[in-house]
Amino acid sequence: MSAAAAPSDLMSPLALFLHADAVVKIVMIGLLLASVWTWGIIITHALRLRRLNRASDSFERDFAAAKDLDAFHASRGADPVPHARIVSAGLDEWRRSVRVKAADRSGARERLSTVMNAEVAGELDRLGDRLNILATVGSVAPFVGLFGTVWGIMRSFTAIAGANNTSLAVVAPGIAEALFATAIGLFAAIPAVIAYNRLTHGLDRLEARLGRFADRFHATLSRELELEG
Amino acid sequence: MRLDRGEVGGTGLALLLHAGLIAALTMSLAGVPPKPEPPAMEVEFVDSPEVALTAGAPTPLAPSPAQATAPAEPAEPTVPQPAPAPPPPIPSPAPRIEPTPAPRPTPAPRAAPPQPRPTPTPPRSTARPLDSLRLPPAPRASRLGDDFLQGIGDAPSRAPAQSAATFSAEAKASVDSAIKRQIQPCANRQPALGSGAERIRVVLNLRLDRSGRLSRPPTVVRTSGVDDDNDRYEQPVIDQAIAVYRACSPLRLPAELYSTPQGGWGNINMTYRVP
Repeated sequence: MSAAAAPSDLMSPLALFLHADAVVKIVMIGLLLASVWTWGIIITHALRLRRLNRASDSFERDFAAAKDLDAFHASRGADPVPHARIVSAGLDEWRRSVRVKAADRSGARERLSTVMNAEVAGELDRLGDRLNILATVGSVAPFVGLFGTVWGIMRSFTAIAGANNTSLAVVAPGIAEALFATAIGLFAAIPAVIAYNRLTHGLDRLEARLGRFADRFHATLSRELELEG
Repeated sequence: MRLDRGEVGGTGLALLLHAGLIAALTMSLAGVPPKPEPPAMEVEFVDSPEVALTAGAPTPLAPSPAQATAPAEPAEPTVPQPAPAPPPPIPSPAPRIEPTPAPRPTPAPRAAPPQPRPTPTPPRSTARPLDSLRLPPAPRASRLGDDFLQGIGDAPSRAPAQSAATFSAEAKASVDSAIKRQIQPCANRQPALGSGAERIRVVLNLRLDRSGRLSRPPTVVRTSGVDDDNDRYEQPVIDQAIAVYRACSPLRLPAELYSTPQGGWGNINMTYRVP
C-alpha cells in the first residue's frame, strides 16, 4: 500500500497508477489506450469530414458550372471526393449502357441508380468505419473503470482486515487509487459519446448531400440517355 | 484493421496530447499538497506538551522560557533564596519611594511608605540600623535604588538549571514519542465513543518498574476539556485511557532514562485523548 508515500504526491496520476493493484493497473492501461485510440479517431474523422465537406462544396460548384461532362470528368474525376467517385461510377455505367445498340432505357436507368446508390453507401461505409469503436468505448469504458474500482476497493478492504486497523489513513489511499480507474473510464467515455453523436450527425448530413447529388446526376444522365436514343 | 496515414497522424496527435495531459497533472497536482489529506492522516491522540516527568525531582524543574504558564510552584521555592542576600545592599529603598530631595527625613515618615509593600519588610527591619547610617549619600538625583542589581544577582544562578531542563526536555520528548508509538495499536483497537469525546484530555500518572510494566494501575491526575456536551463521556474516556495503558503495559523504553535527577519514566504523567 502507499502508506509510506508522502501526501504531496499522493494525488499525482503516476503515483496513483504505480500504487495500484495489478488488475487495476491493467484496467487503467486498457482504458488509457482506449482513450488514446478514441481521440485518434475523433481527430482523424473530424479533420476528414471537414476536408470532405470543403472539397464537396468546390466540386459541386464546378460540376454545376461545367459545360462538358466528359471533359469535367477527365480533369476532376480522380479528385479524392465521394462526388467524383459517384460521377465516375455513373459515367462508366452510362457508357457501358449506350455502347450497345437498342439500349433498354428503363433498365439502364435502374442500373445507373443502383450503381450510384451503391457508391454512396460504399463511401459512407468507408467514412463511418471506426465510429463503432467510439460507440463501444462510450458505452463500455465506464463499466470497465467501475470494475477496476470495485476490484481496488475489495483489495483495500482486505488490506484493512489484515492490518487490524480501520483508521482513515489506511483505507483512503487504496480507495483513491481504485476510484482513479473510474475516473479514467469516464475520461475515455465522455468524449467518445459526444464525438460519436457529433460525427454520426456529420456523416448523416454528408450522406444526404451525396444522395441529393447522386439523384441530380442520375437525372442528368437519364436525360442524356433519352437524347442519345 | 489497417491504418491509413490520416489515422496514424490522428492517433499520434492523440497520444501526444494524452502524454502532455498526464505530465501536466503530475507536475501541478504533485506540487500542491492536497487539502483533505492532512486531516485524514491525523491519528495522534497524546499531547506532548503536557507530558512531564514529575517523579521525585529534588529540585523543581526550572521553567524553560517557552513554558511560562506552568511553573507556578517551581517559582515559589526559588524566590525565598535570594531574599536573605539583599539585606546588606538594601539600605536605601526609601529614596526610590520618595524622590523629593529631602536630605534628612526622620525615620518615622520613612517607615510609613514601606508598609504597603508586604514582602520585603522583614529584611528591612534587620537593616534598619545600617539604614540610618548610610542615608546621607541617598539624596542624589538618580532614582535608581541601590538594590537595582538585585535581580541580576540570581540570574546566573538560574542559568545552569535551564540547561539541565533542556536536556531533560529532549529525553522527555523521546520517551513521550516512544510511549505514544507503543500504545497506539492498543488505542486504535478501542471502540469509538460519541462525538465530543475527542475534546476530553485525561492526564494519567503512570508508575512503571524497570521492565516497563505498570507497577500499579494508572491514576487520573486531572481531566480537561469536559463541557456540557461531552460530560457523559468523561468516565468512558478515563476507563479507555487506563485500559489502553494496561493493554500495552510492557513498554520498551530506554533504560538510562528510567530515573534521572530530573525525573524519569518510572513515574510519568501522560495525556490521553480519544483517537
